[in-house]
Amino acid sequence: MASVSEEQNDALKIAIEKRREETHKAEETQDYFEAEFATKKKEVDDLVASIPQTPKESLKDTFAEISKKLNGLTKLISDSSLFIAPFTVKTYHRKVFELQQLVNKSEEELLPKQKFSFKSRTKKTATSKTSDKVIDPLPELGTSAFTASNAVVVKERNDSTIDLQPSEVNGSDVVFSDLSSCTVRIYGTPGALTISKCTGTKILSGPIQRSIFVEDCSNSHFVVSCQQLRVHSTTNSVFYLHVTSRPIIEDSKGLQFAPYNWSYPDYNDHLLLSGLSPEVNNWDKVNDFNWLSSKEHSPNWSILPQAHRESNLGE
Amino acid sequence: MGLLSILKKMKQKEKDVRLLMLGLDNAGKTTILKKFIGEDITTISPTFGFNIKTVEHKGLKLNIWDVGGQKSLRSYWRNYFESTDGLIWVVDSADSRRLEDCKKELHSLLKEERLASATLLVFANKQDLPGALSGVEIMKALGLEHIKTHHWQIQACSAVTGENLLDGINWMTTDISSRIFTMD
Repeated sequence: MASVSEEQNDALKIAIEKRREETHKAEETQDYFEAEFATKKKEVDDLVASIPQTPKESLKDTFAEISKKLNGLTKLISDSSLFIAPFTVKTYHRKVFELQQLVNKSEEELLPKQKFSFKSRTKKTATSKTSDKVIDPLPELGTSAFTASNAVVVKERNDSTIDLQPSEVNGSDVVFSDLSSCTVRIYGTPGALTISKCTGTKILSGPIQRSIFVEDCSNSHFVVSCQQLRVHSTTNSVFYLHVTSRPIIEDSKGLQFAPYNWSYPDYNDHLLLSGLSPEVNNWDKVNDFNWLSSKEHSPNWSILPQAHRESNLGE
Repeated sequence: MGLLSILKKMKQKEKDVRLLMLGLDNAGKTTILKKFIGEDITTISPTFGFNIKTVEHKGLKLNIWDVGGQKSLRSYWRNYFESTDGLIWVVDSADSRRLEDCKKELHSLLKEERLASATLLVFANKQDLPGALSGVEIMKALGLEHIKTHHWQIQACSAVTGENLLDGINWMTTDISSRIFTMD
């Protein structure tokens, strides 16, 4: 028993000890629990009762308060479960559960957005999602009804040259899909870049603040700078990279890697803006998820020999 | 040995809680883990394998397993199911293109017998990004409201800012401990 007290910062232990002391007054244990529960439940009931009179703007706080108190009730039952009959524990859990249901229902009615969050911390407001900048007139990517609405989408183009300016892309998610034999130049610093189903295409970009995700591409060139690069199901393509974490490839073949070599007048400003470290570049530390051996080099990627590196892909 | 000390011993053992954190690649699992225990999050690369961290939290010893989410690693997930008390499913709320994939993977996990008794916490991560879907939108997209087999909760959060991470973990540990204690 002494070993129990050796552990520190142990709220559970304290709770058990507290309850244990209370068992010295054995007949009081159950009473104590019931009284404590009743007091705490009354607080919740009062809050729930006050909801109809609560002004809308402070409803969120009220629900947060209720949720906190409900958690407290659950905890009280848990802490006391050693000393009260299992049936009683069940009964009280049931009570809390019913109360919770009731609260959820009324929260759902009054604050629909919040209905499944017991905590009602402020979530994203709708205003941050209204900046639709769909360049292509065609409907957005049809994979799901839920497409991030701030994305800049360029899709289904052949033999085109596409230039994107900082005002169009800075901080946004940029998506390229179904491009064939195109040249794309991004003179800015997007938040993230997704490249899907592109063939024979060259994509050059300023520093991407977060990640680049490439999938189902072939025979393409990517001159990109980012925090993270993930390449899936892509074949026979070349990456000129500045990447600050380790790039990864999966289900891909015939990939070649070289250091980033594009520049444009505002590049350094954009690099600063993107927050990428100019000193760190892991372009040659590729992890292949289909090649878990560390002894042998993955056959799916290689370093592009110096002599084959092109410096004017964007022209 | 008195009854009380036996019960205490049982509890002692049960204070070890095993949490398994899964989700698609790039969901932010490692970032959540590192942020939660206060490590540097700026140098994280996609997880090539798994990470385990043990933290003391509210009197519980949390063993958190963070397993890589790349497609080729998902078949190894089942090696980590055994005696999992809580499943943390992490979603990239800004990656609407792969939500269908995300839903499919989650629901196949929920059918796993070895995860049958696990509490489910869904983190709708990356709320700091413009264009991130809200917790409610993620809940609908993943069909969470149809889950009857597990205790579940969705928590919108941001691993980068740390917002709401603690709330999610607190809910999960409260749920797990109340479940374990009730069973005594």
